[in-house]
Amino acid sequence: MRLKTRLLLSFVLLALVPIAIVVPTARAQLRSTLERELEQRMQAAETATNADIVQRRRDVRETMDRLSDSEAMERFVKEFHANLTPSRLSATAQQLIRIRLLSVLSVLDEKGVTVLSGHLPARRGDPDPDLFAVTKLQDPEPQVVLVEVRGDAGLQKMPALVTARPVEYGALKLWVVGGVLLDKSVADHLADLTGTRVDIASAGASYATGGKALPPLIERAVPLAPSSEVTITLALSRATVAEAERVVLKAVLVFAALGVFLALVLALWQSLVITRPVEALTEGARRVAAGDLGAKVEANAQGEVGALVETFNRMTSDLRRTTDNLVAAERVAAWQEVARRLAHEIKNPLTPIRMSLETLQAASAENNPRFPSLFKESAAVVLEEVDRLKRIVDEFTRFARLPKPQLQDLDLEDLVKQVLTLYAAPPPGITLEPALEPGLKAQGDRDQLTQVLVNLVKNAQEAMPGGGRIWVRARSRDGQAVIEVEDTGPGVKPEDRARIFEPYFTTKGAGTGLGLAIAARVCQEHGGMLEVDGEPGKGAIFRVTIPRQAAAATAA
Amino acid sequence: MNARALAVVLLLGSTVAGAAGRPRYGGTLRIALASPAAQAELLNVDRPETAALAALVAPPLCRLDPQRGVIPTTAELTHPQPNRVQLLVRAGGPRRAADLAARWNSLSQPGAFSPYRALLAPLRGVTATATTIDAALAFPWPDLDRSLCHPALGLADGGPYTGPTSRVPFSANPTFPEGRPFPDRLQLTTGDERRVARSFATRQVDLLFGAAPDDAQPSPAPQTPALFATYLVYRSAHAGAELRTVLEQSVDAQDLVQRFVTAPAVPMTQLLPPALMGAAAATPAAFSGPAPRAPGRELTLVYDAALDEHRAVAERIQVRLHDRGYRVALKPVPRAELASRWASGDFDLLLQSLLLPPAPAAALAVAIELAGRHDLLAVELTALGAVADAAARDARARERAAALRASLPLLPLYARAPQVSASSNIQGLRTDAFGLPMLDQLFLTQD
Repeated sequence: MRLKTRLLLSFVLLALVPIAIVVPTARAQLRSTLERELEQRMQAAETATNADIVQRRRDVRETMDRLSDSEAMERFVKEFHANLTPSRLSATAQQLIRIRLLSVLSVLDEKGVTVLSGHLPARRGDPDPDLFAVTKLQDPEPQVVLVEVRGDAGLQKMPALVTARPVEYGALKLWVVGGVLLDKSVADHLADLTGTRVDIASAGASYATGGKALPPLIERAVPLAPSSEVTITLALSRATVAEAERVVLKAVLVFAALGVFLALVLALWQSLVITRPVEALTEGARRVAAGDLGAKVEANAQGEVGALVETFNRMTSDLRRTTDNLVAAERVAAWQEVARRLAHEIKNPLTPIRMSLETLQAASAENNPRFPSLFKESAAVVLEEVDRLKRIVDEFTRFARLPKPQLQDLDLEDLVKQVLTLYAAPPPGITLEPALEPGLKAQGDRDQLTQVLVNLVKNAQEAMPGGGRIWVRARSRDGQAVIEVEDTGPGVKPEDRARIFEPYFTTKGAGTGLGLAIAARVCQEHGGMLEVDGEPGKGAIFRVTIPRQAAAATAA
Repeated sequence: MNARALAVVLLLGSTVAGAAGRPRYGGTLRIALASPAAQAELLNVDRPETAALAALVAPPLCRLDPQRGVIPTTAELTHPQPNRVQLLVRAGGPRRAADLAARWNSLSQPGAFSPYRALLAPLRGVTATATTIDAALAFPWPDLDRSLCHPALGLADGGPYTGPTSRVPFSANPTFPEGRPFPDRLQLTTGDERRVARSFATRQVDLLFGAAPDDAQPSPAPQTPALFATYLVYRSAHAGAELRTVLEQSVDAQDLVQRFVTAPAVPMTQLLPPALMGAAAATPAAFSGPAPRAPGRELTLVYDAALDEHRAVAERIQVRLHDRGYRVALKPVPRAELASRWASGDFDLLLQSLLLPPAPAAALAVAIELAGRHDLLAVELTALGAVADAAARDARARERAAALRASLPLLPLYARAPQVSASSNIQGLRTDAFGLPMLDQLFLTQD
């Protein structure tokens, strides 16, 4: 993973880790606080509801006490006794209800038959066992009773707080049963009072609902009386908690995203500051490795990295200087070696010449009768050695003054075929097997490359005096043209491979040691190279590689 | 209270006004109406309280006297041919005749919103020429004379008094064919029962409609013909076959009359009120069989929102049906919507009051029309019209009413009569065969 990537990830992690730790903790703390507040609100709502119900019970009790003793009730009983019209009685009941702020009012006779009903006038004449049961309790406290009332879609039961009072007029004894319905108005009132959703219900039936609360809910049932199934259920929405959590979480996430973004920007900037000198150093090292020993790193860096850049630049300067000195020394040593070998080559013919001349001197001094024949033989030897010297000088001259290649478009297939025609009749036992890629093109000097190929094929022939096979292949590879000459001779020993392209190094008895050196130099002048390969004892492979394009050659 | 007010419960028809002194013109007749509506609907003839008032501004074509029979007032019916009738309109000239013909034609349309359409069922091709209305008879209909005296078929205006609203006193009409009424003006007030009774007790009004005076004892039964019949109409297609049995078993007309209807009223055990059924008004056999229940069955009962009495009756029916497992929603609607719903059949249950004509055959026609049995109407009326003798025709109509009671999709509930109390300075109060007081003949005396 690159340094820049590691830096970016490190910065992002540095930004995310605190958030990952803080957010759940803060969220849990917030939820706990809000839940506690909800619980407190619910407790307050329950208290307020109980107080309201207690107040309603008290109101009902006091109202019924006053009603049973009122003149209005006395007048009503008189009217009833006087057998007034039903509409008059009904109007009286409605007035009683309205004035006394009651929502349930029935007058029952001693048998429990409804004499008059303010909340359900149509029940007149029917028994009302639910309300009549209240008269049997002899309890002045209001009771929770399901009372029949009229709804939008018909009659329905509705819980009410009712109590009964006896009313007598002479021999006539009636029961007045009244109270307040626990209906939607009560539910709405409690909802306003407590800030909750209020549901007045019993098992399996909901009678009235007030207020609203979005799910999810926290609920608390408040029983109206110990023996009553009717309860007032208060519901508070947890939605506010969830909403608060959501808002806080959203804010945190926004800040987290902002933090990550800033961390990324900072990381990018820091990575650029840090990695740019390092990348420059890397590039400098790469240039040094490529041969640019004097490569300099231009980077604005401080501290340790700056010191590293400075040290690198100093190192390359020293390396360049040392390398120049080394090259100069190697060049001197190489020329010394060439001079040594050249002197050795020249020295070899001088001995026969000297011996021939000394033989002639001796024969002449002795007036040897064979002098003429000796002269003839010695002159031949001297001439032969002089020719040899001349050949050595010519070869050396040619090596030393190898001309620049005249590059032109070459058809290597054609070039190789032309060279092979020179070996159309190889020595007995030698087999030439060409394998040429049709139309293989390259740019090169026809004469010099011809000389290289002739030299390589000739060496292969000479390496197999007992016969063998020679493969000549020409193909393209990676934008370069490759010509291989492979034989089945003894191959090149590993210890000779490093020196085989040096001038005057030869493993042949009659070789000058300049053939492969010249061939290698020609290849170098073409921007390519000459390599030797193969396994000792199985054969040698000489591989010429030259660029197919002139630009590459020129650049090289 | 008794010393200051004289409760005249429609029984004074036979007394002669002259007994209290010579009638004199002038003064304001103050009438109190037990109705919560601030403005009385004068053209509403379905209730006793308003039907008598309607005759003041929209007079019937003739007066149906209990003793003398049909007395032409604003129009006179003749039979130039056995199958044709002509009506000579005396008041208002050709324009009023044309208006009346147009009203009749409108009322005769199949989609008309009134069951009183049945009163004109025998007529075909009603046309007006000058002051004469000409029509053909689809079948012989001897009761046409009595039918045409129904207030619903009268003129739209031109009565003994003029005036559009209750806020402006009605003024006496000097051109009324029967002569200018005695009081110059007629003042109308409305209020609930207790309030108007108190007004009457304190002599703030001269006539009290629809309520008993404070000192009056409830009458056990009306003392004038109770022809304002109230029916519970149901749509059998909506309600189901068992509903008839449930209604018969749970809705007690006697219970309604005793506890929920402003007296005086009589329960209707037959299709027509006892005043029309006479001796035939025997209580039909009670519905037998198990009492069906329909848990959760939902119905809607529509009634006239302006009528407290209908509200009380509707609530009682709701309670009774609730005990049988029905959930009945009450829907009070304006009178016009009630008529529209009845005409289109858009109801489950519907409360409707009607002023039935005092002729049993004509009353039967209105009841059949209310039940929506148009197919039955022509058949029954043709058969009844073929009976020439009036008494025999009435008897035949009563038989048919008894026979049809169980087959028509309606339940007769009760019949009301007008409830009128007059103070001692009112004279000349008489009633017609509908039981309606003839207010145009009243005059004021000084105490």
